[in-house]
Amino acid sequence: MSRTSRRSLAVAVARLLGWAAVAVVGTAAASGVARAAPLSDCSPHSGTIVAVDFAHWGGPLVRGCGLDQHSGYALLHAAGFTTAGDEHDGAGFICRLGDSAFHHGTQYPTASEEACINTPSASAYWSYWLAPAGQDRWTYSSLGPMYDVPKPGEVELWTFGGTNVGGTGGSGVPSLSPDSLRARTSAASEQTTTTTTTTTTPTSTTTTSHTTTTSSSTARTSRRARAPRQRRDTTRRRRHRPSHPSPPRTSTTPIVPAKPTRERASSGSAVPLIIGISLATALLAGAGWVAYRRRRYE
Amino acid sequence: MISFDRVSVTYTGASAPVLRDVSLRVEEGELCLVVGGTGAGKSTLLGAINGLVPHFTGGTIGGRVTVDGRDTATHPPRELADVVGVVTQDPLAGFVTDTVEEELAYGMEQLAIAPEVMRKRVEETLDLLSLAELRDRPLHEISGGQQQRVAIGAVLTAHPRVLVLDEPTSALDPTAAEEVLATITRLVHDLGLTVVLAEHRLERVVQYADTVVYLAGDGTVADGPPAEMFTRTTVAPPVVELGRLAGWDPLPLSVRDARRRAPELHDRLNGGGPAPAPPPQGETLLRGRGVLVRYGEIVAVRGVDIDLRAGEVTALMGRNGSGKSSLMWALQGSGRRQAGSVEVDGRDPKALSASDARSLVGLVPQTPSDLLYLNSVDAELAQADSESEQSESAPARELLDRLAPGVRGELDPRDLSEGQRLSLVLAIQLRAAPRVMLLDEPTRGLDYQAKHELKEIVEMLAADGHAIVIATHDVEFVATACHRVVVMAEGDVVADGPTPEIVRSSPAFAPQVAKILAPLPYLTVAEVECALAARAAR
Amino acid sequence: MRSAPAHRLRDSGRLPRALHPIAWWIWAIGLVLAVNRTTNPLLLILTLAVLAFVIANRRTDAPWARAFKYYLWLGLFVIVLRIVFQSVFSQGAEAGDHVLFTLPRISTPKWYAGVQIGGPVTLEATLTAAVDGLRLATMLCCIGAANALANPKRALRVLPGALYELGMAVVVSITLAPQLIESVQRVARARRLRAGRRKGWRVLRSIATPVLADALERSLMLAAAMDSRGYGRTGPATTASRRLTGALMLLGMVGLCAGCYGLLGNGAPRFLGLPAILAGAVLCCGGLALGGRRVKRTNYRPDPWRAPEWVVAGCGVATAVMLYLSTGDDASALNPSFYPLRFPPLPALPMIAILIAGVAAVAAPPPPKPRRLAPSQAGAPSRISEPVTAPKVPA
Repeated sequence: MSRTSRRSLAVAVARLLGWAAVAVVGTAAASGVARAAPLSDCSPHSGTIVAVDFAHWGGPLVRGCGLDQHSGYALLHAAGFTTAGDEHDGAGFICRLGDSAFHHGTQYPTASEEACINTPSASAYWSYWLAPAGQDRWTYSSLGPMYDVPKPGEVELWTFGGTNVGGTGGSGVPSLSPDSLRARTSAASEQTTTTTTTTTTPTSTTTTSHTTTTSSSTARTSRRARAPRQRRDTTRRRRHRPSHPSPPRTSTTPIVPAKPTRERASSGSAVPLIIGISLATALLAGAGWVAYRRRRYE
Repeated sequence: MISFDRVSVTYTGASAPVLRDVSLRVEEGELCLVVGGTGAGKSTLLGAINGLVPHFTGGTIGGRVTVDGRDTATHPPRELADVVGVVTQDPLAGFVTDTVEEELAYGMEQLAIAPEVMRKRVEETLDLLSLAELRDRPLHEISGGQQQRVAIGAVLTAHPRVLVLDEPTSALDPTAAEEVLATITRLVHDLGLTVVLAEHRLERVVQYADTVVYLAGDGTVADGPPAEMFTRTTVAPPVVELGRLAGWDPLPLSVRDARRRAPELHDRLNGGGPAPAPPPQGETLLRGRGVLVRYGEIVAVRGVDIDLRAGEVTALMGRNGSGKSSLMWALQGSGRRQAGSVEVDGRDPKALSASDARSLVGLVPQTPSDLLYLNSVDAELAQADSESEQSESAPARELLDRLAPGVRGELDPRDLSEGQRLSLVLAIQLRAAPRVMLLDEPTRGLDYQAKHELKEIVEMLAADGHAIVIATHDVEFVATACHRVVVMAEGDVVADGPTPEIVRSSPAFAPQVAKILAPLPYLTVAEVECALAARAAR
Repeated sequence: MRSAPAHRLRDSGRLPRALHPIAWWIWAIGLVLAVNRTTNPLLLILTLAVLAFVIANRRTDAPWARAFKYYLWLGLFVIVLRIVFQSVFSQGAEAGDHVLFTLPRISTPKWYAGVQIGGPVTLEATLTAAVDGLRLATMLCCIGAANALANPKRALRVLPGALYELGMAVVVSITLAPQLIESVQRVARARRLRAGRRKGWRVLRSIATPVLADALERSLMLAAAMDSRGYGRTGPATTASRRLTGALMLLGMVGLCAGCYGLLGNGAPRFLGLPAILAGAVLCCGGLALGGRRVKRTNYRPDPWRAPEWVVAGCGVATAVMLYLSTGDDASALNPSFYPLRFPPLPALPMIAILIAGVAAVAAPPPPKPRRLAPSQAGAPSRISEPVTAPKVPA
């Protein structure tokens, strides 16, 4: 690329990010959700950045910030993400993630892709990556989001894909560097430094990092991997390299700030509950009447 | 049918053989009565018939035991199940199923008998033993006598040739015992079964026996017709003892036989009665008024009034389930008492702590071994001493030596004989020095010798100023040992008075001597002996 | 075990009688398998109601038939325990959760960081734990229903010949259990008579020793009685055939276990599951047939297997099959999540499946009525003599 084109590209992305930042700040102020923190709250010394990569479904990398959260799980929610666990492990294993910034908060993977009854297989799940302050490579988190305590200046990233047993290879391994997501000191530097390559050590940026769920069993037997996704994963793998050295950011995934979802889903209809309870009551009444009649004749 | 050919049985670890060179024959269709003191080897002899000794109990057996042509050395008990049926004194411990009908069928199932044949035999046995209306009842809900009949029926359905009964009536009240014995004799006479029966309380059974096998206690065995055998046994029912005393020959075995010879004894006694014993004059130690005990809806004791005086031995008699045990537990203070008052020494035992209550009223329960949990007699006595440090009585060891001399300290309490165990528990309870002592069915399982020793213990305690209450079915024992009889039925006291009156007025309760010598008011052989000696001295 | 020709009745089996115990067990196990597939609280409550209905209609009057309420208490205990564990070892709360109360948080050291103690207790977490416990409780109650409806001893009698001794041991222990309890009560009452002052360990010893000695004696007496009545008569069995039987049984059991894991567990490889169960069953049957050849015994009045047995067993199997097949369609309806808090749905097909299980209450024949004894026949009371009036002292 020529210098001019590079500069214009940088300016365009910076402007985009600037609007995004404004949008995030504005949303955060307007949403009124008590625990959401705007991206500007996070700095290299305080707050933790959490980012979720929806690139698997063609979405952006959504990043948000949380201050003084006691777990990665709380951090996700504080930053405005919605999560869903699976039946087998409970809410502690992140099976689905969603944010209003991407497809109006639809949680991915959807029910048709992953039933979330049992623990998803290691070939397609949300993996949890951490980069504490001063470290420019991703570490596969050894604790789950409920138990990991976010530290100030840390970056957490959630990516979707497959990983091998050691957490060193596979499509779920993040391709971008932590510093590209890290919190910066000023909003202006935010716009500029995010466009630079990730080889420079970042000073302070709020980055949305993917909190990857540490599977409580890294050695879970994999289920039948779904073919299309795997194919997609292999194509991505060509573009990504292992995460230990910080690779230059080559993906074109945009980075957007997280937008907290405000309204909860409706609580559903109470009609099945009424029908069920009345059926059960009818049966119990029948049982009680038979027992009473029996006792009278005994 | 059964033949023992120079049989010796030695248990592992025993120093002397239990049976030594025993040879005897039991012919088909005979009722053979096995007689002997405790520990003489009756159970071993009976066990050898069916092969339990040595296949089940262990030990060495020499010689040959043959039953219906089969050698027990090569046939374990289960192979002899179609020839020999065994009934023990605790029928409930041998029951495997839930209901009467299933229990009757169980033996046949093991013998792989066809279902139609099983069905037929069950119906026959129900009729034979009058159990037809009980066929669906659970086994633990029927009375003791009915349970014993079910146990007999259960072995009878296999159509054995031999029936072996090891003390079948020891746990039963007199009427139930009569039922069971009548059933057995009918089986012998109608079905031609060979029955081998061991009993402690011979007075009911002696008249029916065809052969008596007497175990002297040193391992040898003598057998012969009853009248001949009883001239030389140490254990004998009162009718036989009376016959021996009066010098009758041949010895009468039943009350009827003895009554035919009685007129000559009447003459010798000059129609006079025994010297009346002075009634005990002690102070009233325990006063119970309106004692009410109920278990849910069942009323066990209905407002009973009772007074116990020092130096008096009271017998508490009545059917199983008439409330005797409940009354005793209520008087001791450890049992339920929903209403009424009990006063000992001005205090109510129920309101006191357990250790205070037992220093007022002591109780020896039906199963004395429930109180024993240590490994040796010495340990138990030491524990008893430490439990009752405040009482002024003699140490437990002394008490035990007075009651049952010669009990070695290192023995395990469970290895003692019934009488010794009873004495041990009695010593433990007496260590707390209660003035009132209650004994719940102490005579069960005791032979004549042990009962005689118990009588002496009781007399000694009464002379010391205790008030003793003994719940028992054994009329002979009551006639010898007790001054007063209280009869209970359905929770009420129906009779309360001196022993001679109560015991003589009822045909079911009269001791044999009273029945023989009626209308003379003698109760025991000892009284007759005293009277004869007094007349002879004059 | 065919009933004798002389006793075969022309009815369809609807006269009052006890249903074959295996039919009830198949029905109950079908329900257990069905309940295993769902955590929908409405379906679970419906299952409990169906159980209560069937038991009230078809239980007999035996003492073990009244034991169902203890299973209900056990189920309640399971639910409470689950909720307590969930509250103590909490997993954190989302922003929108309804927090009930907050327990003080106890921080765990770094090397134990996998466990978190304390923290907020949310309604969603409590409900999830309660429903999880409810599923386990329902499965326990299904087994309890089988115990209440089918005489456990008659159920053990239909064991194949090779397992007869095992079944007999269980039957004997069931018979002796009430005696043991009665023994403990008697000894505990007798302890008061000695009023030992020692507490703690000594108390246990003073109760345990007499009870155990008593139990040992009784079991020896029982063994002697059973031996004398012919229990344990076996035909000739060579060592080789015994080893072969043992090997077949072991392999068959392993196959059955693997197959159960494959069917019920999630994530097992495909070849486990139905093929392993079939292979294991074949091996087990072979072992049992081989082992049963040496045991000869007959059955007195065996329970017949007629149309009502087929219907009852079929109900249970149908419920299980319907719930297994319907998993694909409405997985979220069978396992509703409480995050976010919402009313649980009631899927139609599983509901119908569970109601089908309730048909057993009508299909099974009515239980036999106990015969009422006339009071005069209960025992043979003896008459005590008339009370003594005045003492007559002879002159």
